[in-house]
Amino acid sequence: MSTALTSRPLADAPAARPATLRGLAWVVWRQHRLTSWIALGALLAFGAELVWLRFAMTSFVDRHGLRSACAGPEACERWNMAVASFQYEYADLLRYNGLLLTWLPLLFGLFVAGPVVARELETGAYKMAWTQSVSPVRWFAAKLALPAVAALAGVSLLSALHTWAWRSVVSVQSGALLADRRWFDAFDALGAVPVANSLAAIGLGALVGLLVRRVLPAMAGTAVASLALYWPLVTARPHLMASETLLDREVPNLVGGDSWRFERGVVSATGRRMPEPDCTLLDKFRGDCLTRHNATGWYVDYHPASHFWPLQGIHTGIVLAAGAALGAGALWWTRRGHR
Amino acid sequence: MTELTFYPERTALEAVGLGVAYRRGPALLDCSFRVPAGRVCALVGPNGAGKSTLLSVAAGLRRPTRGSLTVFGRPPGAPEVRPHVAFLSQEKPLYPSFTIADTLRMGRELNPGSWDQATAERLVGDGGLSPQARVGDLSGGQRTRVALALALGKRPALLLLDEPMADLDPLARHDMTAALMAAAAEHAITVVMSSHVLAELEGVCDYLLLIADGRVRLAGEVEDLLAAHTLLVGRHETAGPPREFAAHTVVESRVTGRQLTALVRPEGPVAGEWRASEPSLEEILLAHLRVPGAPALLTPSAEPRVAWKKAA
Amino acid sequence: MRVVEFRIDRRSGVATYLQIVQQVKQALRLGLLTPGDKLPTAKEVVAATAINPNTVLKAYRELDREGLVEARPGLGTFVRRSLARPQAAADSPLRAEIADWMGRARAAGLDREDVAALVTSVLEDSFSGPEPGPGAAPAAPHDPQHVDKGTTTG
Repeated sequence: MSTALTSRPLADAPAARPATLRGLAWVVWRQHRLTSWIALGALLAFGAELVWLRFAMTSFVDRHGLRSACAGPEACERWNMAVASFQYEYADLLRYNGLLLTWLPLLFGLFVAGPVVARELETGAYKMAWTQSVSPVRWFAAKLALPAVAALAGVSLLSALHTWAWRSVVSVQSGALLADRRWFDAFDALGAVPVANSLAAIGLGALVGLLVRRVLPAMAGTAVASLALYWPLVTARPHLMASETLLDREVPNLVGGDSWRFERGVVSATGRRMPEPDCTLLDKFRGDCLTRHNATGWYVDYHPASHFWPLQGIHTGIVLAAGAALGAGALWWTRRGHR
Repeated sequence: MTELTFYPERTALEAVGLGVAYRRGPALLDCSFRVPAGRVCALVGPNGAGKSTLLSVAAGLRRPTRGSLTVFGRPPGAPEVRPHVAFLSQEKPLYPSFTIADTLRMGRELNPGSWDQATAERLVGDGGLSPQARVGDLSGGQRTRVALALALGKRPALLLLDEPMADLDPLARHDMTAALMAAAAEHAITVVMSSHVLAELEGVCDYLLLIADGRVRLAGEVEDLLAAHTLLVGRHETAGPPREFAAHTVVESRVTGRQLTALVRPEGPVAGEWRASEPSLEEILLAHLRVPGAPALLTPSAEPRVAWKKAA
Repeated sequence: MRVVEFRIDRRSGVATYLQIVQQVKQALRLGLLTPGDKLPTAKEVVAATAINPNTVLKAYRELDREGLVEARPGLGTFVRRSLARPQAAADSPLRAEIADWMGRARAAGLDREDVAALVTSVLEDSFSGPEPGPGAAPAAPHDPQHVDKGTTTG
């Protein structure tokens, strides 16, 4: 069989590779130009707001002298008022910012599943795009590269800013200012986790979009799959690394300063554990609970604050591996069906 | 200008035992045929015959379930054939948010080294379309024109068109066919175009592939197919087929009163008092569609050259 | 400059390439094409008529085979000889004789269709035998099964 197809030499194709990538990048950018501009605007606004929030919070803290303890009932009254005012004005805002960052990965997943992938398949545009000189796999990789780069750059920036703002006040008075936004509460909006989650959501969205092939069902499917996959990870999070245990005759408190106390229960002489035994509050304090359950004392499992970064690392690793597997699965599916 | 666009020795498309199955059932069954390079081939058949499936496989969008189909001797979608094959699917998909200029730029970006901006622009300009017009605002015919410009701008060696003229008015149809034929003449493009409207293809195609129920019924040069068939009309009053037909392949025979009309593939002179005439292409196609049991006919040039061993 | 323009009638039942061959010959007879003239390229023909380029090339090959035109690679296809005959020119004695006969036929009360039928019938009788020279009937008359549609209809 003749190898020469036309007068054009076949060797042209590999030589033109770098130019092709630029070409593909242009097409993907042009396709999602409007979304990209909106996303960039939102990124800048969100980032600016976080910078403002950080300085507004620290200046409030400094203005009201919240870094030092109060002395005297009158001063403490003012101090308490100031803390309440801080929580009303800033802590809630910081919490909403954190929630936004927590759910931002889902937005990436929905965008990739619907407009980026499923729309091509639903409208049949892939028949045009996949019969050009570039292969479907490379075209698909370029389609995923745009949101991936956006996630790496944009979410990294936002997460860094959020972490920076959060750290500026979280240690004040050992966390009194952000009582419900400790490191373990805000875990999904801090450090590398939002970036890793976004990248994994892109991989998930790509695979679901490819399999479902219709925009709205693909987006709905991605939302459901995200929650279904993420919930077990959140549940398993305390056990991702070895925790520490506190033993006590008295009922230990579940709130323990900087440490994340995630499980409490009674332990028997043989070492058998029973989490959150069925006791009334009064039983617990009288010690009847221990005798009734034939236990020798109370235990509480916790992660000290020093476990924050190791836990972040483990979580990020798991999520990135899952995301890479999902993305590879999407590429494999493309290659399998269409080379 | 290429003076000779006919290369009987080179093969544009070759199918051997090709089968494609969907979840709901088979679309193509054991199809074997060959389309030599340089031809303008009509892919005809009733709706749902498997025309679109065949074109999708050739375009590399779908993989065969059984057997093989090759494009210039390679699997469809292989890196060395991909730049040389253009495909225009039935729904003429384009990105609606792109302007025409963006669409042509996309063609240039995705087909580096082969993109022919002048050809694409001329085709769009001949339709009186502004490059700044948004694709989403175009009429069906205008979209077809832009999609065809994108396909021809790629400078393909093989152009696959699925129902290309379906939504065009007669003038646009003539213009577009003329543009297509001129490009085919100039760049020696092999064209395979499907249609269920035969009138669209008469005079345009010199090669024919008739598919019905997922099987190849006729394949070969239009002229050879015409020459292979004869329409016989005569008096016939006894029951059963005339004895003198036994030596020939009868595609279809109909009796009206005392008159018998038969489309046959004669294997030699036909004995008896029969008035013979050359059938039109339409008569041949209709006869084959009306009689699904008629044996398939592949002219020598349409026989696949690759031997295929049936997989167990 | 375009010398001839082809008119393709898809409903005529005559093969497209034969229509081109006949129209070139007609142009040669009428002197519209003379030796040295360049025929339109296949691309020019198909761009105007929307027919298959191979058909045009086939017609040109047929004309080449008959020695009427020649293909010069890279340049195009050129007319080699004319079919215009001095005996058939506007001022020839043969034409004058027909004109004279037509006048008499008309005077005898025949209308246009009568005359045409008469002429066709004589034409058939005179030219149905073996052809004296190349060119006139392009179809394949030696095939016993071949019946030209143009003569069976009407």
